[in-house]
Amino acid sequence: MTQELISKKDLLELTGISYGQLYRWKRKNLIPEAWFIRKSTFTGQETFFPKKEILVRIDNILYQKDDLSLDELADRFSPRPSDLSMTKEELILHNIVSKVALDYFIRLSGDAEVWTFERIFAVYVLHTLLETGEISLEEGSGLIQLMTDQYPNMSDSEGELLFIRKMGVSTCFLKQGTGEIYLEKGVKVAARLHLSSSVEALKTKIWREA
Amino acid sequence: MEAQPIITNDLSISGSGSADGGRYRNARINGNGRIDGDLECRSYKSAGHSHVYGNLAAREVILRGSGSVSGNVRSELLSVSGNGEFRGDVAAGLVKVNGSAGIGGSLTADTAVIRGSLQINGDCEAEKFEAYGGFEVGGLLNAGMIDIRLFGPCRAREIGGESIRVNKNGFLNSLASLFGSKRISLEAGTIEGDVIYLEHTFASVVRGRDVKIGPGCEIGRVEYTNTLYVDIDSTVAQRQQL
Repeated sequence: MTQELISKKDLLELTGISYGQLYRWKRKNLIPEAWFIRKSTFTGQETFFPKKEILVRIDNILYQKDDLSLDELADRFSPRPSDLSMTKEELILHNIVSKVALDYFIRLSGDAEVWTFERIFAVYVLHTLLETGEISLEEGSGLIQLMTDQYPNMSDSEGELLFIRKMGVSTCFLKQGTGEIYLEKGVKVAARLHLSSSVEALKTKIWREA
Repeated sequence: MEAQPIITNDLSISGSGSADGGRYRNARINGNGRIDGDLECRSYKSAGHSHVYGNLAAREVILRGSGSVSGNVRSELLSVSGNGEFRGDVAAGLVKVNGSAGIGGSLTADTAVIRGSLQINGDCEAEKFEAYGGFEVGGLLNAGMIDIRLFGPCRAREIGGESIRVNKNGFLNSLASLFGSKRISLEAGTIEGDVIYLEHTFASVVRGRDVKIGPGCEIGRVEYTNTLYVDIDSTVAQRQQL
Protein backbone atom coordinates (compact mmCIF):
# COMPACT_ATOMS: atom_id res chain seq x y z
CA MET A 1 0.00 0.00 0.00
CA THR A 2 1.59 3.23 -1.06
CA GLN A 3 0.54 6.47 0.53
CA GLU A 4 1.48 9.99 -0.30
CA LEU A 5 3.93 11.46 2.17
CA ILE A 6 4.65 15.04 3.17
CA SER A 7 7.89 16.22 4.72
CA LYS A 8 7.84 17.95 8.07
CA LYS A 9 9.13 21.13 6.55
CA ASP A 10 6.40 21.25 3.91
CA LEU A 11 3.80 20.37 6.49
CA LEU A 12 4.74 23.28 8.74
CA GLU A 13 4.79 25.65 5.81
CA LEU A 14 1.42 24.46 4.53
CA THR A 15 -0.38 24.54 7.88
CA GLY A 16 1.43 27.46 9.52
CA ILE A 17 2.11 25.56 12.74
CA SER A 18 5.47 25.66 14.48
CA TYR A 19 7.95 22.96 15.47
CA GLY A 20 7.01 23.59 19.09
CA GLN A 21 3.33 22.90 18.41
CA LEU A 22 4.08 19.76 16.46
CA TYR A 23 6.30 18.35 19.23
CA ARG A 24 3.76 19.33 21.88
CA TRP A 25 0.98 17.54 20.04
CA LYS A 26 3.16 14.52 19.68
CA ARG A 27 3.82 14.52 23.43
CA LYS A 28 0.10 14.77 24.08
CA ASN A 29 -0.54 11.84 21.74
CA LEU A 30 -2.61 13.95 19.38
CA ILE A 31 -0.44 12.65 16.56
CA PRO A 32 0.29 8.93 16.64
CA GLU A 33 3.87 7.75 16.81
CA ALA A 34 3.35 5.60 13.70
CA TRP A 35 2.81 8.69 11.56
CA PHE A 36 6.35 9.91 12.13
CA ILE A 37 8.20 8.19 9.32
CA ARG A 38 11.95 8.66 9.31
CA LYS A 39 13.68 8.52 5.98
CA SER A 40 17.13 9.26 4.69
CA THR A 41 17.35 12.11 2.21
CA PHE A 42 20.25 14.00 0.73
CA THR A 43 20.08 16.46 3.65
CA GLY A 44 20.24 13.65 6.19
CA GLN A 45 17.45 12.08 8.21
CA GLU A 46 14.08 13.70 7.60
CA THR A 47 10.67 13.03 9.04
CA PHE A 48 7.68 12.45 6.80
CA PHE A 49 3.98 12.03 7.50
CA PRO A 50 1.13 10.33 5.68
CA LYS A 51 -0.16 13.41 3.91
CA LYS A 52 -3.91 12.92 3.96
CA GLU A 53 -4.13 11.75 7.56
CA ILE A 54 -1.88 14.40 9.04
CA LEU A 55 -3.57 17.27 7.23
CA VAL A 56 -7.02 16.14 8.40
CA ARG A 57 -5.68 15.71 11.92
CA ILE A 58 -4.05 19.12 12.11
CA ASP A 59 -7.18 20.71 10.72
CA ASN A 60 -9.19 18.97 13.45
CA ILE A 61 -6.79 20.05 16.18
CA LEU A 62 -6.76 23.66 15.04
CA TYR A 63 -10.55 23.63 14.73
CA GLN A 64 -11.09 22.39 18.27
CA LYS A 65 -8.10 23.50 20.28
CA ASP A 66 -9.62 26.75 21.52
CA ASP A 67 -12.55 24.97 23.13
CA LEU A 68 -10.81 21.94 24.55
CA SER A 69 -7.72 21.07 26.52
CA LEU A 70 -5.09 19.02 24.75
CA ASP A 71 -5.91 16.05 26.98
CA GLU A 72 -9.56 16.18 25.94
CA LEU A 73 -8.46 16.38 22.35
CA ALA A 74 -6.18 13.40 22.81
CA ASP A 75 -9.14 11.35 24.01
CA ARG A 76 -11.08 12.29 20.89
CA PHE A 77 -8.33 11.23 18.56
CA SER A 78 -7.60 8.07 20.45
CA PRO A 79 -8.48 4.96 18.45
CA ARG A 80 -9.78 3.39 21.63
CA PRO A 81 -13.54 3.38 22.13
CA SER A 82 -14.69 6.18 24.28
CA ASP A 83 -16.99 6.20 27.31
CA LEU A 84 -19.45 8.56 25.70
CA SER A 85 -23.04 7.50 25.14
CA MET A 86 -26.11 8.92 23.39
CA THR A 87 -29.81 8.27 23.09
CA LYS A 88 -31.45 6.93 19.97
CA GLU A 89 -33.10 10.29 19.30
CA GLU A 90 -29.77 12.12 19.48
CA LEU A 91 -28.24 9.72 16.97
CA ILE A 92 -30.91 10.57 14.42
CA LEU A 93 -31.13 14.25 15.29
CA HIS A 94 -27.43 14.83 14.78
CA ASN A 95 -27.27 12.70 11.65
CA ILE A 96 -24.73 10.32 13.13
CA VAL A 97 -26.44 7.35 11.49
CA SER A 98 -29.36 6.96 9.10
CA LYS A 99 -32.77 5.95 10.38
CA VAL A 100 -32.79 2.90 8.07
CA ALA A 101 -29.58 1.57 9.60
CA LEU A 102 -30.73 2.30 13.12
CA ASP A 103 -34.15 0.70 12.72
CA TYR A 104 -32.66 -2.42 11.18
CA PHE A 105 -30.12 -2.64 13.97
CA ILE A 106 -32.81 -2.31 16.65
CA ARG A 107 -34.94 -4.97 14.96
CA LEU A 108 -32.09 -7.48 15.12
CA SER A 109 -30.22 -6.51 18.22
CA GLY A 110 -32.79 -4.80 20.41
CA ASP A 111 -33.31 -1.29 21.62
CA ALA A 112 -31.67 0.47 24.53
CA GLU A 113 -32.35 3.50 26.65
CA VAL A 114 -28.80 4.76 26.39
CA TRP A 115 -26.49 3.72 23.59
CA THR A 116 -22.91 2.97 24.53
CA PHE A 117 -20.10 3.91 22.20
CA GLU A 118 -19.58 0.31 21.13
CA ARG A 119 -23.20 -0.05 20.05
CA ILE A 120 -23.15 3.30 18.30
CA PHE A 121 -20.03 2.19 16.50
CA ALA A 122 -21.72 -1.02 15.35
CA VAL A 123 -24.62 0.98 13.87
CA TYR A 124 -22.19 3.45 12.39
CA VAL A 125 -20.29 0.71 10.58
CA LEU A 126 -23.56 -0.65 9.20
CA HIS A 127 -24.61 2.84 8.20
CA THR A 128 -21.30 3.54 6.46
CA LEU A 129 -21.36 0.35 4.41
CA LEU A 130 -25.02 0.81 3.47
CA GLU A 131 -24.44 4.42 2.49
CA THR A 132 -21.62 3.51 0.12
CA GLY A 133 -23.77 0.73 -1.33
CA GLU A 134 -21.12 -1.85 -0.63
CA ILE A 135 -23.53 -4.13 1.16
CA SER A 136 -27.28 -4.57 1.12
CA LEU A 137 -29.56 -4.28 4.12
CA GLU A 138 -30.06 -8.06 4.28
CA GLU A 139 -26.33 -8.61 4.35
CA GLY A 140 -26.20 -6.32 7.36
CA SER A 141 -27.55 -8.96 9.74
CA GLY A 142 -24.30 -10.90 9.82
CA LEU A 143 -22.41 -7.68 10.26
CA ILE A 144 -24.53 -6.63 13.23
CA GLN A 145 -24.04 -10.00 14.88
CA LEU A 146 -20.28 -9.76 14.30
CA MET A 147 -20.00 -6.23 15.60
CA THR A 148 -22.06 -6.83 18.73
CA ASP A 149 -20.67 -10.26 19.64
CA GLN A 150 -17.07 -10.20 18.47
CA TYR A 151 -15.88 -6.61 18.19
CA PRO A 152 -15.80 -6.09 22.01
CA ASN A 153 -13.44 -9.07 22.22
CA MET A 154 -10.77 -7.41 20.15
CA SER A 155 -7.89 -6.47 22.37
CA ASP A 156 -6.02 -4.35 19.88
CA SER A 157 -7.49 -1.19 18.42
CA GLU A 158 -5.57 -1.85 15.22
CA GLY A 159 -7.55 -4.02 12.87
CA GLU A 160 -9.93 -4.26 9.97
CA LEU A 161 -13.41 -5.32 9.11
CA LEU A 162 -13.67 -7.23 5.87
CA PHE A 163 -16.75 -8.04 3.93
CA ILE A 164 -16.31 -10.63 1.19
CA ARG A 165 -18.47 -12.30 -1.42
CA LYS A 166 -18.16 -15.40 -3.50
CA MET A 167 -20.73 -16.43 -6.06
CA GLY A 168 -23.33 -14.19 -4.47
CA VAL A 169 -22.77 -15.55 -0.96
CA SER A 170 -21.44 -12.98 1.43
CA THR A 171 -19.77 -13.07 4.80
CA CYS A 172 -17.77 -10.76 7.00
CA PHE A 173 -15.02 -11.03 9.56
CA LEU A 174 -12.77 -8.98 11.79
CA LYS A 175 -9.02 -9.07 11.54
CA GLN A 176 -6.86 -7.98 14.45
CA GLY A 177 -3.48 -6.44 13.82
CA THR A 178 -1.94 -5.16 10.64
CA GLY A 179 -1.20 -8.38 8.78
CA GLU A 180 -2.23 -9.01 5.21
CA ILE A 181 -4.91 -11.46 4.09
CA TYR A 182 -4.82 -13.64 1.00
CA LEU A 183 -7.92 -14.92 -0.70
CA GLU A 184 -8.65 -17.37 -3.44
CA LYS A 185 -9.38 -15.68 -6.72
CA GLY A 186 -13.13 -16.29 -6.80
CA VAL A 187 -13.55 -14.11 -3.74
CA LYS A 188 -14.39 -10.45 -4.05
CA VAL A 189 -13.71 -8.03 -1.23
CA ALA A 190 -16.89 -5.97 -1.10
CA ALA A 191 -15.83 -3.69 1.71
CA ARG A 192 -12.81 -3.12 3.83
CA LEU A 193 -12.90 -0.84 6.84
CA HIS A 194 -10.00 0.24 8.95
CA LEU A 195 -11.32 0.05 12.51
CA SER A 196 -9.23 2.63 14.32
CA SER A 197 -9.78 5.27 11.66
CA SER A 198 -13.50 4.49 11.68
CA VAL A 199 -13.63 4.91 15.45
CA GLU A 200 -11.88 8.20 15.03
CA ALA A 201 -14.17 9.29 12.20
CA LEU A 202 -17.20 8.49 14.34
CA LYS A 203 -15.83 10.41 17.30
CA THR A 204 -15.07 13.40 15.14
CA LYS A 205 -18.54 13.25 13.64
CA ILE A 206 -20.21 13.10 17.03
CA TRP A 207 -18.22 16.01 18.36
CA ARG A 208 -18.69 18.17 15.36
CA GLU A 209 -22.41 17.55 15.13
CA ALA A 210 -23.51 17.21 18.72
CA MET B 1 -17.28 0.01 39.93
CA GLU B 2 -15.54 -2.24 42.39
CA ALA B 3 -14.72 -0.58 45.70
CA GLN B 4 -11.03 -0.32 46.36
CA PRO B 5 -10.12 -1.93 49.67
CA ILE B 6 -8.13 0.30 51.93
CA ILE B 7 -4.65 -1.06 52.23
CA THR B 8 -3.01 -0.67 55.59
CA ASN B 9 -0.25 -3.24 55.58
CA ASP B 10 3.31 -2.02 55.30
CA LEU B 11 6.37 -3.77 53.99
CA SER B 12 9.63 -3.24 55.76
CA ILE B 13 13.02 -4.78 55.21
CA SER B 14 15.86 -3.82 57.53
CA GLY B 15 19.26 -5.35 57.24
CA SER B 16 19.31 -7.93 54.54
CA GLY B 17 16.22 -9.67 53.26
CA SER B 18 13.73 -10.31 50.55
CA ALA B 19 9.98 -10.25 50.15
CA ASP B 20 7.33 -10.98 47.59
CA GLY B 21 5.66 -8.16 45.73
CA GLY B 22 2.05 -7.25 46.16
CA ARG B 23 0.03 -4.30 47.36
CA TYR B 24 1.16 -2.35 50.35
CA ARG B 25 0.66 1.05 51.90
CA ASN B 26 4.30 1.88 52.48
CA ALA B 27 7.31 -0.14 51.46
CA ARG B 28 10.65 0.55 53.12
CA ILE B 29 14.04 -0.97 52.57
CA ASN B 30 16.93 -0.09 54.81
CA GLY B 31 20.07 -2.00 54.02
CA ASN B 32 19.97 -4.65 51.37
CA GLY B 33 16.59 -5.74 50.12
CA ARG B 34 14.99 -7.47 47.24
CA ILE B 35 11.38 -7.66 46.18
CA ASP B 36 10.23 -10.40 43.83
CA GLY B 37 7.21 -9.64 41.70
CA ASP B 38 5.20 -6.53 40.95
CA LEU B 39 4.98 -4.02 43.73
CA GLU B 40 2.16 -1.53 44.15
CA CYS B 41 2.24 0.85 47.05
CA ARG B 42 1.68 4.42 48.11
CA SER B 43 5.26 5.12 48.99
CA TYR B 44 8.40 3.20 48.17
CA LYS B 45 11.56 4.30 49.90
CA SER B 46 14.85 2.54 49.90
CA ALA B 47 18.13 3.46 51.50
CA GLY B 48 21.08 1.27 50.72
CA HIS B 49 20.78 -1.36 48.11
CA SER B 50 17.44 -2.42 46.65
CA HIS B 51 16.10 -4.46 43.76
CA VAL B 52 12.55 -4.82 42.57
CA TYR B 53 12.17 -7.75 40.20
CA GLY B 54 8.93 -6.69 38.59
CA ASN B 55 6.97 -3.53 37.85
CA LEU B 56 6.71 -0.79 40.39
CA ALA B 57 3.64 1.45 40.73
CA ALA B 58 3.54 4.00 43.51
CA ARG B 59 2.71 7.57 44.36
CA GLU B 60 6.27 8.26 45.39
CA VAL B 61 9.47 6.38 44.75
CA ILE B 62 12.50 7.60 46.65
CA LEU B 63 15.78 5.80 46.17
CA ARG B 64 18.88 6.62 48.17
CA GLY B 65 22.03 4.70 47.54
CA SER B 66 21.52 2.30 44.72
CA GLY B 67 18.25 0.91 43.55
CA SER B 68 17.02 -1.00 40.55
CA VAL B 69 13.71 -2.01 39.05
CA SER B 70 13.61 -4.71 36.40
CA GLY B 71 10.22 -3.72 34.99
CA ASN B 72 8.35 -0.48 34.40
CA VAL B 73 8.01 2.30 36.93
CA ARG B 74 4.93 4.47 37.31
CA SER B 75 4.86 7.11 40.02
CA GLU B 76 3.92 10.72 40.65
CA LEU B 77 7.35 11.37 42.09
CA LEU B 78 10.55 9.55 41.29
CA SER B 79 13.59 10.74 43.16
CA VAL B 80 17.02 9.16 42.85
CA SER B 81 19.92 10.19 45.05
CA GLY B 82 22.81 7.98 44.15
CA ASN B 83 22.24 5.47 41.42
CA GLY B 84 19.04 4.17 39.89
CA GLU B 85 18.65 1.53 37.21
CA PHE B 86 15.31 0.99 35.51
CA ARG B 87 15.14 -1.66 32.84
CA GLY B 88 11.70 -0.81 31.49
CA ASP B 89 9.76 2.39 30.82
CA VAL B 90 9.47 5.12 33.39
CA ALA B 91 6.38 7.32 33.62
CA ALA B 92 6.31 9.93 36.35
CA GLY B 93 5.09 13.40 37.20
CA LEU B 94 8.32 14.70 38.59
CA VAL B 95 11.65 12.98 38.09
CA LYS B 96 14.63 14.12 40.11
CA VAL B 97 18.01 12.57 39.67
CA ASN B 98 20.92 13.57 41.86
CA GLY B 99 23.69 11.25 40.82
CA SER B 100 23.05 8.88 37.98
CA ALA B 101 20.19 6.98 36.47
CA GLY B 102 19.74 4.60 33.58
CA ILE B 103 16.48 3.80 31.83
CA GLY B 104 16.26 0.84 29.49
CA GLY B 105 13.02 1.95 27.85
CA SER B 106 11.65 5.45 27.55
CA LEU B 107 10.95 8.23 30.02
CA THR B 108 7.69 10.18 30.15
CA ALA B 109 7.42 12.93 32.73
CA ASP B 110 5.95 16.34 33.39
CA THR B 111 9.20 17.65 34.74
CA ALA B 112 12.61 16.02 34.73
CA VAL B 113 15.45 17.59 36.69
CA ILE B 114 18.79 15.88 36.24
CA ARG B 115 21.84 16.79 38.28
CA GLY B 116 24.48 14.31 37.34
CA SER B 117 23.94 11.91 34.53
CA LEU B 118 21.07 10.16 32.86
CA GLN B 119 21.03 7.53 30.20
CA ILE B 120 17.85 6.66 28.33
CA ASN B 121 17.83 4.03 25.60
CA GLY B 122 14.48 5.07 24.16
CA ASP B 123 12.72 8.42 23.91
CA CYS B 124 12.38 11.09 26.54
CA GLU B 125 9.22 13.19 26.73
CA ALA B 126 8.60 15.93 29.27
CA GLU B 127 6.98 19.32 29.54
CA LYS B 128 10.13 20.57 31.19
CA PHE B 129 13.56 18.98 30.92
CA GLU B 130 16.43 20.41 32.94
CA ALA B 131 19.83 18.79 32.87
CA TYR B 132 22.86 19.96 34.78
CA GLY B 133 25.47 17.45 33.80
CA GLY B 134 25.52 14.84 31.12
CA PHE B 135 22.92 12.69 29.46
CA GLU B 136 22.35 10.36 26.60
CA VAL B 137 19.01 9.84 24.90
CA GLY B 138 18.97 7.05 22.32
CA GLY B 139 15.86 8.33 20.58
CA LEU B 140 14.02 11.64 20.60
CA LEU B 141 14.27 14.15 23.42
CA ASN B 142 10.95 15.99 23.17
CA ALA B 143 10.10 18.66 25.73
CA GLY B 144 8.32 21.98 25.90
CA MET B 145 11.19 23.65 27.68
CA ILE B 146 14.64 22.20 27.43
CA ASP B 147 17.34 23.72 29.59
CA ILE B 148 20.73 22.07 29.39
CA ARG B 149 23.81 23.12 31.34
CA LEU B 150 26.73 21.22 29.96
CA PHE B 151 28.90 19.65 32.63
CA GLY B 152 29.52 16.41 30.83
CA PRO B 153 29.01 14.76 27.48
CA CYS B 154 25.43 15.15 26.28
CA ARG B 155 23.96 13.29 23.38
CA ALA B 156 20.58 12.71 21.76
CA ARG B 157 19.59 11.33 18.38
CA GLU B 158 17.02 14.10 17.96
CA ILE B 159 15.86 17.03 20.04
CA GLY B 160 12.55 18.81 19.58
CA GLY B 161 10.51 21.30 21.57
CA GLU B 162 9.29 24.82 22.01
CA SER B 163 12.23 26.43 23.77
CA ILE B 164 15.68 24.86 23.71
CA ARG B 165 18.60 26.36 25.60
CA VAL B 166 22.05 24.89 25.86
CA ASN B 167 24.59 26.70 28.04
CA LYS B 168 28.07 25.89 29.15
CA ASN B 169 28.99 27.53 32.40
CA GLY B 170 32.47 28.88 32.71
CA PHE B 171 34.12 28.19 36.00
CA LEU B 172 33.43 24.56 36.78
CA ASN B 173 34.07 23.56 33.21
CA SER B 174 37.42 25.28 32.97
CA LEU B 175 38.28 23.47 36.17
CA ALA B 176 37.18 20.17 34.63
CA SER B 177 39.20 20.75 31.49
CA LEU B 178 42.30 21.13 33.66
CA PHE B 179 41.88 17.50 34.61
CA GLY B 180 41.57 16.53 30.99
CA SER B 181 38.01 15.23 31.24
CA LYS B 182 36.08 14.34 28.12
CA ARG B 183 35.04 17.06 25.78
CA ILE B 184 32.03 18.71 27.27
CA SER B 185 29.51 19.35 24.54
CA LEU B 186 26.14 18.41 23.16
CA GLU B 187 25.89 16.15 20.14
CA ALA B 188 22.65 15.68 18.26
CA GLY B 189 21.49 14.69 14.79
CA THR B 190 18.72 17.24 14.48
CA ILE B 191 17.53 19.97 16.80
CA GLU B 192 14.14 21.53 16.08
CA GLY B 193 12.27 24.14 18.09
CA ASP B 194 10.67 27.56 18.13
CA VAL B 195 13.33 29.42 20.09
CA ILE B 196 16.79 27.88 20.14
CA TYR B 197 19.99 28.96 21.84
CA LEU B 198 23.01 26.70 21.58
CA GLU B 199 26.53 26.70 22.92
CA HIS B 200 29.20 24.05 22.34
CA THR B 201 26.87 21.96 20.25
CA PHE B 202 27.59 19.65 17.34
CA ALA B 203 24.55 19.00 15.19
CA SER B 204 23.84 18.04 11.59
CA VAL B 205 20.69 20.14 11.28
CA VAL B 206 19.13 22.87 13.40
CA ARG B 207 15.67 24.12 12.47
CA GLY B 208 13.69 26.81 14.21
CA ARG B 209 11.95 30.13 14.22
CA ASP B 210 14.49 32.17 16.17
CA VAL B 211 17.88 30.52 16.22
CA LYS B 212 20.91 31.77 18.08
CA ILE B 213 24.15 29.87 17.70
CA GLY B 214 26.48 30.80 20.56
CA PRO B 215 30.17 30.00 20.90
CA GLY B 216 31.81 26.66 20.22
CA CYS B 217 29.25 25.16 17.83
CA GLU B 218 29.63 23.21 14.65
CA ILE B 219 26.38 22.93 12.72
CA GLY B 220 25.94 21.39 9.30
CA ARG B 221 22.83 23.24 8.31
CA VAL B 222 20.57 25.83 9.92
CA GLU B 223 17.05 26.45 8.64
CA TYR B 224 15.19 29.32 10.26
CA THR B 225 12.02 31.24 9.61
CA ASN B 226 12.50 34.45 11.56
CA THR B 227 15.94 35.35 12.93
CA LEU B 228 19.39 33.80 12.98
CA TYR B 229 22.49 34.84 14.88
CA VAL B 230 25.78 33.00 14.64
CA ASP B 231 28.67 33.63 17.03
CA ILE B 232 32.02 34.28 15.33
CA ASP B 233 33.45 31.38 17.30
CA SER B 234 31.08 28.90 15.64
CA THR B 235 30.75 27.41 12.21
CA VAL B 236 27.57 26.85 10.27
CA ALA B 237 28.17 25.18 6.91
CA GLN B 238 24.81 26.03 5.34
CA ARG B 239 22.14 28.47 6.34
CA GLN B 240 18.73 28.98 4.82
CA GLN B 241 15.84 31.25 5.68
CA LEU B 242 12.47 29.68 4.92
